[in-house]
This record gives sequence, structure tokens and C-alpha cells, in this order.
Amino acid sequence: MVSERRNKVWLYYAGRLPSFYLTWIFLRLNISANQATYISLVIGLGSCIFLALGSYTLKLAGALLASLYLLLDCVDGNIARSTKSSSPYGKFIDASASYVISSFLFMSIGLGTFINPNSSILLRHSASFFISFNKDIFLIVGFWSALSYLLARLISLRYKTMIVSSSDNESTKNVTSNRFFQISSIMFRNIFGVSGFFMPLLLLASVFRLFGFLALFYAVVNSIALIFIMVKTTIKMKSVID
Amino acid sequence: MDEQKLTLNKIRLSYARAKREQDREDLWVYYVIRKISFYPTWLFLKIGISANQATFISIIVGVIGCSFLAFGNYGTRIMGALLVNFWIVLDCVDGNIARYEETFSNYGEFIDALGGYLLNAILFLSTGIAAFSHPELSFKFINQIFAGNLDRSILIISGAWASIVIILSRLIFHKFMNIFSGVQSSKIRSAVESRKGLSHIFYLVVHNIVSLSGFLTPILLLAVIFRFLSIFVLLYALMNTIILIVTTHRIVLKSRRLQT
Repeated sequence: MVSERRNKVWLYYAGRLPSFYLTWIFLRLNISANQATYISLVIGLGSCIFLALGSYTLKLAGALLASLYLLLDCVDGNIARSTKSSSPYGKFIDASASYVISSFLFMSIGLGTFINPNSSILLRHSASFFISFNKDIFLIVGFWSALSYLLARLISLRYKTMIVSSSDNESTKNVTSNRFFQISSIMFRNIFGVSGFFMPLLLLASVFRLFGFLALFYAVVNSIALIFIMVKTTIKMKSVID
Repeated sequence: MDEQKLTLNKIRLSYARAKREQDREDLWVYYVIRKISFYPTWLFLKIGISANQATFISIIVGVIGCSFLAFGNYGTRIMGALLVNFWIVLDCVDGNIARYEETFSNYGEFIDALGGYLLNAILFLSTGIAAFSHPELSFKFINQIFAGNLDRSILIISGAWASIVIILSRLIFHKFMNIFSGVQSSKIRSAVESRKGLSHIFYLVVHNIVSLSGFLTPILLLAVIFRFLSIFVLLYALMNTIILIVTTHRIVLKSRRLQT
């Protein structure tokens, strides 16, 4: 939990801490960890639909639902730990649900900007920016951030699987003492994915109609993350002796 | 003297029995691509290119092919489709070299997989962009079916969606393998590789039509030449979605069964 407080500041303060109260309610209602995962999946999908298709108010509701999703995503783990019902099946559906919702959230931001150009100041006042934005761009931008997010996840998962299966995994455990690297890694973990500062930024974007900016920002962030992970895993994989 | 001579036959011989069996279900690779791949393999070995270098070359060729597809005119799009087809050949070449030189490594396997994911991710996306930015006869045809209501943007959406869905299903599958492989490796193997009845047909369809090593790349070339890219994109968006739903459903059921 200590690492979560540092690596995912938002998740810790807006997700983990309040999630204990919700966990208590869920336990009283006798909802199991896996059921909580399914509830979080439904809420996450609802939030994506609101964000993609809604106008101003619905988008705001979608952003709030996304925050609720994050909260519920903590709850299932809490239930599993407190009732000692943690299982491989639970871990698997939890991870799969988070892949689906994370990628759909990135997608629906771009799609929302495309379908409802009023939701973005960038598009409404397109002429006053240096580049005039075509709304089709936001389609590609949103889809690309979802795609690069998933690709980065897939590559790092493949890397982890191969490292665990290879006999020599000592060399991968060397913790670097480089201060710059540590700080940039903490920053990276707080920005990448939807459990970092994505949620507060999403709320801000829906209040101030900044969906265009958010879509562009996350396309850049996820692309950098993808390149970073590709280079890092390739170099590390090379250094592991077969 | 003769033993050191590099011949095509020796390369063919190094194409081990196990790999041949594994390939047999990928009809396109088995009957066409693998046979073509021995020639560049011979050339690469002659020049002294290693298996890993061949993988990097294949990734570069594939990425250039996709960008030609997305951002070119009719001529460059055909070039792009040809390059994507050549990518598949090169994808076999690196394995051939590794088998011939017996230089298999985890690193090689990893970058090979990485290249495959990358290409899977960008191929449908760039096909969608290509179909969007170049008016085609096929789109008129599609619009006649839908009473002229379709916006061309649906093509970008479909292409990108096809890419996302295929990567998502890969990700879910690997997470499943990752979580369960440590638990009961023999059980999981039999559960995943069950080849009976309907699931065998599903497996064959996935391998020969949807997977990049199937008939996808030659169909892509035809779609570019005969200008039916929009149909190609819409069809693959649909098929990849079905694949995601079916595989995820099967895996979730299996993971629940494995647990008990």
C-alpha cells in the first residue's frame, strides 16, 4: 500500500481511502468480490457511453461515473482481502475489466469530441488556434491513445511472463538508485493509465469543456509510454542471459 | 568443404518437423509464404544477417508498409500492401535463420512477438485511414445498402476499432495465461488447446482469416488493387469483434472452471 500512495497518488486518496466505507456497505449487503468486479465493469461501461455520446451534462455524469468506477475497482480487492476469498479467477476478471474500461475511456474521450464538437473549446474556437482542428483528427487521436495504451500493456505483460519463466531473473530485480529515474518513474505511474491523474483531469475537462485537450494530451502521454516500454523491455530482455 | 556450403536444401531441412506440424493449420503460411521465405533466408545468411536483425528489418518493413497504406495514393497503397505481404515473409525468415544457426533465444522470441503485436495494432488502423481518405466505389455500394446514411468517418472508427479489439483479446488471453500458468500448467494447456468440434473450427477460422499469418495479407492486397478497402475494413471490424467476444467468453468460463 505504501507504493500505491506514492505511485498512484490520486488512486490512493480518491479511491483507496474512501473505498473502505463502500467496502463495508458491500460486505453488509453480502456482495462478493467477483460480483463487485462485475458491478464496476457495468458502471465503467456506462460512464464510457455517457462520455462518448452525451452532451455537457451527460458528459459530466459520465466523468463522475468514471470516478465511481475507480472507487469500485478498489472495493473488489478490499472484499477479496478481508474475506480471504482472493482467487486467480477474481484476479483475472479484475485485470480484464480494467483493460476494457481503461481503453474504452480513452476511446470515448476522442469519440465524444468528434460526436459533440461543442464539448471542446479547441474545436469551437478552432480558428483562433495556430492549427485549425478537423474533428476527424479527434477520432484518430482517441483511438490511438486507447490502442497505444493496450499495446504498452500487452508488451509489458509479455515481458513479465517471459522473465518469470526464464530461470535467471536476478538481473531484472536490480533497483536503480538514480534519483532522476525514480522521480520520473513515479511521475510516469501517476500519469499513465486511468488510475493516475486521468480522473481529476477528466472531471476538469468535463466542467470546462476541455475534451479536445484531454484527448490530445493522453494520445501524447500514451505514445511516449508505449515507446518507453518498448525500448525498456527490449533492452532488459537483451541483458537477461538465456 | 561441402558441409560448409550454404544451400537452400539445408535451410529447408532445418525447418524442423515440429514447426512444420505447427504451421500446417496456417494454410497460407504453410503452402506459400514458408516456401518463398527460404530464398531471402539464403540471402540473409549469405550476407551474415542474424535472426534478431532480420526481426528488426521485418518490423521496419511492416511499419513502412502500413504508413504507405495510410498516407499514400493508389500506387503507394499497392506498394504498402506489398510491403505488408513481404513483412509476413520476413517474419518467417527470422525463425528460419534461428533454426538454421540454432540461435534461439528468449530475446529473439520477445522481439518477434513485439513486432507481431505492433503490426497487428497498426495494420487495421492504417487500412481504416486509407479507406477513409480515398473515395472508393465500394463505399458508394455500402451507402446504397444503408440508404446513404453512412458518414465516411465510420471507416476510421471501424479500422481503429478492429485494431483495438484484436489487441484487447490478445491482452486478455495473455493475462489468463500469465495468471493461470503458474497454477496448473498441464490443465491449462489442455483447456486452451482443446481442438474438438466447434472450437476446432473456430481455431481454424481465427488462424486462417483473422490472424496476420492467414489469408488476411493477400486479401488486403486484392482489396487495395480492386478498391474494396471499405468492405475489407468493415468486415474485419466485425470479425475481430466476434473474436473478442467469443475468446473472452471462453476464457472466462475456463478460468472459472480451472479454479474449482
